[in-house]
Amino acid sequence: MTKEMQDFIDRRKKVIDTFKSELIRRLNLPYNADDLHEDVALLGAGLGLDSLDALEIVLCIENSFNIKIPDQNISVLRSINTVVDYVIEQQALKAGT
Amino acid sequence: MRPLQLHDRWMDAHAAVAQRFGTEIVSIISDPKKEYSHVRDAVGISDFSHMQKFNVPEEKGLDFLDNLLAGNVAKVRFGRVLHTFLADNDGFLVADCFMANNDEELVLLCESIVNDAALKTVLNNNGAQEAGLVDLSENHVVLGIDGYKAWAVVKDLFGADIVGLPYLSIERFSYEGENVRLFRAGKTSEFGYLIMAPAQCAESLFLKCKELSEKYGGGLCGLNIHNDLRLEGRFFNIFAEGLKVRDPLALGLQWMIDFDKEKFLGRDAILKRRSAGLTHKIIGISLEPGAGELKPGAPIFNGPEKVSEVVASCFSYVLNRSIGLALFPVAIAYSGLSFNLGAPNGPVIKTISMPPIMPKSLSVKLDEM
Amino acid sequence: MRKRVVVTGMGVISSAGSTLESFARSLTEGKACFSRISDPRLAHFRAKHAGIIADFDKQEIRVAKALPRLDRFHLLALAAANSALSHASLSPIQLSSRMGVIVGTCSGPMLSIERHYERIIKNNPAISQEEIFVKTYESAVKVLAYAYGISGISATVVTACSASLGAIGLATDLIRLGVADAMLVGGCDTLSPTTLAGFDGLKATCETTCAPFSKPFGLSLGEAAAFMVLEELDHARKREAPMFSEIAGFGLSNDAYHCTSPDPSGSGQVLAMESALIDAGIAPGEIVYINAHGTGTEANDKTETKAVRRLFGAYAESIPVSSTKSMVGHCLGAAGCLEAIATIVCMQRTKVYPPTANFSGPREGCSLDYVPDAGRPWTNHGPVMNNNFAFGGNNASMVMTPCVSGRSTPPDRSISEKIVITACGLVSPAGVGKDAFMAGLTNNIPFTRSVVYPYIGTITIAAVPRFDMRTIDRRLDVHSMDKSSVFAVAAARLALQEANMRDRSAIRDGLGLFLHCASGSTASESDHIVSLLNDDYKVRQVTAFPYVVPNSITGNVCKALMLAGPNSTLCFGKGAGLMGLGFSWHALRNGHAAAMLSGSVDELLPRTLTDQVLSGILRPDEEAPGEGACVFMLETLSHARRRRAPELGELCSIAYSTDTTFLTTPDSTPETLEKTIRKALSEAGIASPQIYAVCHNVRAQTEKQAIDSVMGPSSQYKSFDVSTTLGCAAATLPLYNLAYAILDSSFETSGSKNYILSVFSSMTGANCAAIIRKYVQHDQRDARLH
Repeated sequence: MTKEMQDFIDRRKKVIDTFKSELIRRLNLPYNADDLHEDVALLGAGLGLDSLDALEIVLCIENSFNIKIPDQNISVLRSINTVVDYVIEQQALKAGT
Repeated sequence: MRPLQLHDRWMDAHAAVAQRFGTEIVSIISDPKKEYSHVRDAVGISDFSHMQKFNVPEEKGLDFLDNLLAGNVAKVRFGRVLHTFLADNDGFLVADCFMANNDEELVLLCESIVNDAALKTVLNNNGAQEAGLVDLSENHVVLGIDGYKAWAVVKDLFGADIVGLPYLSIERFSYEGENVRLFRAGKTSEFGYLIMAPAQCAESLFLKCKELSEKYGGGLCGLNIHNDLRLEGRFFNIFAEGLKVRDPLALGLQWMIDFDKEKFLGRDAILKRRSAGLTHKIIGISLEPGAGELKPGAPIFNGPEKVSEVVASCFSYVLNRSIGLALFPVAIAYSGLSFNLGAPNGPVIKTISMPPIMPKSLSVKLDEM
Repeated sequence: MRKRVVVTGMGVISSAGSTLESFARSLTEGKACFSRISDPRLAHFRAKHAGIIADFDKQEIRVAKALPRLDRFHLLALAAANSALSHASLSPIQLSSRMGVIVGTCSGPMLSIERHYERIIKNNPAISQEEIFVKTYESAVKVLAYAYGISGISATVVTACSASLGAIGLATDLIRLGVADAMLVGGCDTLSPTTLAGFDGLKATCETTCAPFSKPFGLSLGEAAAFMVLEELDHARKREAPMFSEIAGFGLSNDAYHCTSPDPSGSGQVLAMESALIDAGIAPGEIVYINAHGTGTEANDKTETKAVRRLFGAYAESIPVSSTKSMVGHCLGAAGCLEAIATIVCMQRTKVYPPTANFSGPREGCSLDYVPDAGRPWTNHGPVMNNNFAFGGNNASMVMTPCVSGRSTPPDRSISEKIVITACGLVSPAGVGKDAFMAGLTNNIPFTRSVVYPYIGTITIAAVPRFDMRTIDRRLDVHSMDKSSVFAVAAARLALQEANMRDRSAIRDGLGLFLHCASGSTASESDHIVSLLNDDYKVRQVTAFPYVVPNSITGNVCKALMLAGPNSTLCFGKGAGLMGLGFSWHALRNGHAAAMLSGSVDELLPRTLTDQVLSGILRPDEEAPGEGACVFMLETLSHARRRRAPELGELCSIAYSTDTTFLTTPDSTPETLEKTIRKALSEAGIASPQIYAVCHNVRAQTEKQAIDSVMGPSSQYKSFDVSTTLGCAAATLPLYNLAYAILDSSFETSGSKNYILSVFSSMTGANCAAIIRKYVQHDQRDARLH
């Protein structure tokens, strides 16, 4: 494992862990962080969260990572991975990198 | 072997058949790209009768199924469907199940990686007869209607009320005087319905569905294409990665499990593996367009070290590239990394976030929550 | 014989006008009466406009001088009620206890509640008794009773967006049965940052001003107070009062679907509308106008349109359906009554259909005649419908007929048969279920323990021990429900089990639920408001707001148990469980359902306890506050017999009075309570020697004196008071006492001495007395043979 790879993983893992723990806490999910596979669907299938939960998830992301999520956001909220991708992308934009 | 009820009608359509776990299935009509396009761009009609189908009266069936399946059967509300699995005593997958609460009856649809007899044995060993489980596999068909126009076909069949049916629900309808069970439960990430119908009206229903699908610009599909569609939509496919990996935890199926439930088949083994912690995890992979093809079994290298193997793959027409799934050690099971396919200096393979495609159905607002 | 109910007075205070003339004018013109929200703390919200009442002069309200801490909520209500009473030329004092008052609200005195939280987060929670009173949801009816001399029944409906329509319905039921000759009924809500933030966080608000059934999506809030005087027809005729409309029928239902989203199939809304039509004896094809709930949100307008089409079929195209919220905004608890008044003034006075303002073309899924933009001449005369659909899945619908129509009498759907109690579902500090309850009481060891709270130190409480819902019913999903909802779901489920009610369709379509609470505050109120205050009103979470209103508890029970029938949530302050029992009884006697679950729930909330101890209302050395839930199953006798349900007893009578002397004098008098008890006895047709058991608070002096006056020596009856063992659950204690008396099998019948008297008198002037006939063993045994 190269250092570059490890750094990449650490950065991504940090976002994943923060998001997962907030998700579990706010939505009272009966799961541990390790139980949540990053590709599991959040809305509809998979975790089967509803529209009210979706609003809560959006606030969760906006508060935890200090970024804005657009109102038309179904593509962002498809799985933990897609959320994390969006967060990392927005953070990079903010940092101007 | 359990033959297709609609065997002759599929032959009329020049379909190729095959055998899978002791059941005859339609593998392909002729052109996979065309079948893919039916589902992704219009509506595809497929024969899902390979599913084992059962019903059981709710009174005793509730406990029977709850003690068997990994998910919480008791909490399924009237009219709703639970997507869960059946494991063996060692906590490895046997069947991918839809369990529906259909008011006084519970309906079970299974996609199994064992044949009918083996599945029946498991059920009988766990109280099926006492609960009054009835096997409907032989005398019922299951037709799959998938695609972003699927709702239009089902609306033509059963009326406008279907438009409000939420994902993972069941509703009774009548077709030619026969009782038909409609499930809204697809695995392609487009709108999907399953119609479970008795043999008496199967043929007529099939022909009607075929006609309606053509009306909306779609047509018939085999089951091979569903492997691709499921992978693209990141829906669990027991016949692909499920068959190779078998461990629901490594497959990311924890959402199908109620860990607080006191009893289900394989519970002890699964809980033990859960507390020990995952060592490997399934993750999406992708090859650049033109860089070749992902094949199940092909090794994946991290530098000089082989770390994984392709477990499932398909060519995604939408993405114009080969995508797949592989089982990675958890330390490197993260999206966005690069590895090599086949050899340390082989084509670059990336781990990707799933699902990788935006299905047309997500842009259509049906009256749903 | 069911009596008829007419509207003889109306009063409104709203952004569209504070006189009936100006209100009517705005409606006719299709004037959207919104102004910019000027509070700088709220500038970041999506919602920029609201229906704000201009030029409200509180100086005109005399009572405001006597009670200086009144919230804007009270002042608006007082003003609108005053207008309604003047309009009706009715003086409530002359009707004494034959006139009552019911108010519907969503957030009640929220501005005062917020002000207290602002002090709380600065570590200054001190509060006086008066300030606590002003902060309660039930204070409005007390203040109105005091100001206008009303001494009959009083109640507060807390079903949020449908509250005042529900209030009209409940008041109508009382008049129909002859419990009251007249009722002051209405609703009120102010514009508060809490409520605005709540809706804004749910992305339900509109960035501009709302455009129901059109674009853009979203609601605009409004503040308003709207009141009516409802009167029995003959009573109105005798005094030659002008009659503005008749309340022909109303219906309630629950979606049993989701806490904020309506059931997209519209089934719950259809059921409410259908029930209203059946109650009125009117066919869908006779309705000439519908005043829609029409908030402007995507979910509501689409679902409502669908529901109207489903019920009215092809005829739906011909009915004008408009949303007056397009002009005044969503006035929450006041909406129902405000919109009913809007309908009446347009029907009678201006003779113009109120339009849907700000309409620039129908949105997708909305395709009815919404009377766009300007009022059209009211061409068809006949019955009209008003609808309101609230959070928690509560749906209310009402049918009114113009008084000059010469229509025949609405059908008399009242029933004269007995109403029996067929189950007591109990969740108490003694545990879950009636066996644990009775065992706990037999052993007589208190289920109390000490807890330490900041600011008040150690107090003794009686808490419900943790329990696993799976032991009651594995199918119930109560994960992420608050404690109140869990208690209520458990108690309701136990009641269903004990009543042997299994038939799924009976549960789904007919069974009603009235759940009552002592306080409008839930655990979520604190979560929501504190989160806002700590962060400059920025919305950081949305899961608390839907549960701020206690109606969410009823919604949770309906959803868990799939109850779609008539439902409501009433707040009375202490004793709510007993007070609310009467409303279920009246609903059954009016034929709205054949069976109803009726009960109450309490949860020990640190916030509430702290307030009560700091103010001196609760003296920890004298009383141990408690929690839990008790839900009775009430059924008509024929329904119970048909099902061979166990018959535990019969509800023979229940009498109420409201005594507001507490607002001016420190000591309450027992005379009013005594009169109420005697009234209950008389209505039950029995005399005091036939009472073998009295359920009351043995330490309450007022109750003791009143009971002594009526009953004579205490050796003649057995007292049932569980408070030393189970603590004092504010709403539920009287129901625990009653359950104890009903379930106590040590009672031996002797002739006709088989009646239970249940009494409650609150510090804030609500009095209630109920007579229950206990059914003895052999009755119960026969029933259990099934």
